[in-house]
Amino acid sequence: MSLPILAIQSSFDALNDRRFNFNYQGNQVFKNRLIVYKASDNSEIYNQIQTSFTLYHTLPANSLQNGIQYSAKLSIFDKDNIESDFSNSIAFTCHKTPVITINVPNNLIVQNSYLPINVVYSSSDGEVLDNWRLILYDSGHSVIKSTDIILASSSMGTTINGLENSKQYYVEVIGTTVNKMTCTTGQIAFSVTYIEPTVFSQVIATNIPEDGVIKVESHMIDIEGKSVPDSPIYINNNEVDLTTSGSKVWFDNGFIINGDFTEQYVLRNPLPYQICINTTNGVEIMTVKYMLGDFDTGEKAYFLLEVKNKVLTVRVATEIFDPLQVSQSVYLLIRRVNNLYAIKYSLKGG
Amino acid sequence: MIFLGFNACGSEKSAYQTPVSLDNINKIELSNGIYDDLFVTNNVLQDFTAPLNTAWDWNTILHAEFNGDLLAGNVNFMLSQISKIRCKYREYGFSDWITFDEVSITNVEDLVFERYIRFNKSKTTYDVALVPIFADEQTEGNYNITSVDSYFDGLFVLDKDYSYNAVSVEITPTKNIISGLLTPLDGKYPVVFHNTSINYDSLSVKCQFIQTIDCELNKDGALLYRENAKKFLTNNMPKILKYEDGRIWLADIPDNQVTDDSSQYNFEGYTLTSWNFVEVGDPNSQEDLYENGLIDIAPSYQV
Repeated sequence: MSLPILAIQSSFDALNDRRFNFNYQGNQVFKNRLIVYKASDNSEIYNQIQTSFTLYHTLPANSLQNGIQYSAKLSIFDKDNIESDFSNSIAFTCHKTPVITINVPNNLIVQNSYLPINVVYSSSDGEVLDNWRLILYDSGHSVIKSTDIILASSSMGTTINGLENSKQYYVEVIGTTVNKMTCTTGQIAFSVTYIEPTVFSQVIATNIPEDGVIKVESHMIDIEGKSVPDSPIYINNNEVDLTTSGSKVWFDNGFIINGDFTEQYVLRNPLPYQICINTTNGVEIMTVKYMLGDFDTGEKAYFLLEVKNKVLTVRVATEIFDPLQVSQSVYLLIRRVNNLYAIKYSLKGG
Repeated sequence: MIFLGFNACGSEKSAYQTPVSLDNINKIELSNGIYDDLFVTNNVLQDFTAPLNTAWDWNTILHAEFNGDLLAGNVNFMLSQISKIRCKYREYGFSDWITFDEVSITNVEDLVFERYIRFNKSKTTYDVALVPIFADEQTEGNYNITSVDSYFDGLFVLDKDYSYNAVSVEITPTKNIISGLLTPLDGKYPVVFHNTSINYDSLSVKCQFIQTIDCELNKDGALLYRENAKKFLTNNMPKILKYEDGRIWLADIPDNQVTDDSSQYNFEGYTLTSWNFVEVGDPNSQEDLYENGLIDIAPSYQV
């Protein structure tokens, strides 16, 4: 009979089951015997036969002790129950699974675009860490980035940069010991939420073929409105009068309103039934009109907010109030939260 | 009528209007009234009661007071909050950006600047982005993006400071991997094995270094230009080699030999210069560009 070849074992935790793989080329294997010796005195610690066609022997948990070096050899039995000679002998050491941790509690909320990571490694029986690497996953557990393999040192850490606002991530650190044991923190979830700085800048990129380069120019964009007429009528340099037919002021550069928002307008003398405020993204439109109507209590006024897309129109109105005098200024508040709109008015100084 | 929390429409909220989404608002127009103030913020947590606190913060989007003008921004506030503008580019269709420069911002004039992308390929479209960075030097803001088509003629050999142009180019690249061969005693075929991930180009380059000025080849200055190019080639530093057909390499000279060949000489300066290059990195990698001294910005992603 030919000899089985027992595969080399890296270090493992004796508290767990461990599979000893072997290779054998000959008659079909019906059983196998694994013998484990303690290296220090060559005493036999484990000698069991397992009946299986498979080419491995499972060493049950707690058969050995951590922190001790062992050697092992293996034989096989064929269908006639004839035992082969023993395989090569392999040496290995059992170690308690080391612990690797990072300073990120589960479900941490990171209020920044970066997260410093400190890695701490410990082993109860002196197993030495050889290297480690950090893996960043997105919310779907797909790998976004991974560090290179970093050699272990007394101070281990890195910084995850470029975290996007309002995203969830998972981070995992995997360590490998000098005896090829692996330990992991598992995937630890964290969320990112922070306020992003917004600066609107006009970017002009120009190809310059003579020099083989691209010129990039930055021009700061301040938010400045445009008007019809070009020079609108200001009242006491404090108000802009847009009551004449066709006059208007608009802002369309240097800002974008994303998500929920609150708007506050201070105005007076709104013309009835006309659109005072028109807010749009080019497709959907939000308008505000000053309306008058006859109610049980006489003529009353209200502001009507309409939000329209190509199919639907949502209408929300303020409470009714007495029609405004020309000199009466009002605060008009508009708020959008989760696509629900509210509008509210109050007299200025009232 | 509500019965056990349900009405005739199903539930207590069934009769609500279908919400209409209004996002990415980029225009606000006022008319038919006299306006004193316009304030827009992303803050929806403060009381919905007038008057709102209109002090500028990072939630403020615009605030127009109509004090004889139509200004609605606050450049000074933004300047107090950002430390620099990060300049980035990437090939169109790819996700990873290369940060090629960072511009410190201390006043409004700093926001007007010019920078150059040097390691662009020909026949390629690039996205270019300018990104404000918070005062903590880490947090990135909004990406101001534009696109540009990159193209040029001839060959450029360059690093972060110098660039030399060449015509009449011959590039002969050879792909190199390292493998071994085992010949089993009882087999018919050998076994090829690859124990390393080495995979790089080696190049043989021959070209005529000559400067283009106002679309004309500067034959009179060709000798000096070529001598400077040869000094540049032999300065023991990695370089970028890029050609009009879109190929680009991050490479270095393995043998420090640059030779001239004037056998085809038929006018002043018509001399072909040849040398060998080996690829030493990826020109689309921030890390490789930084480690080879071609850009000054360390990779922003340590992970």
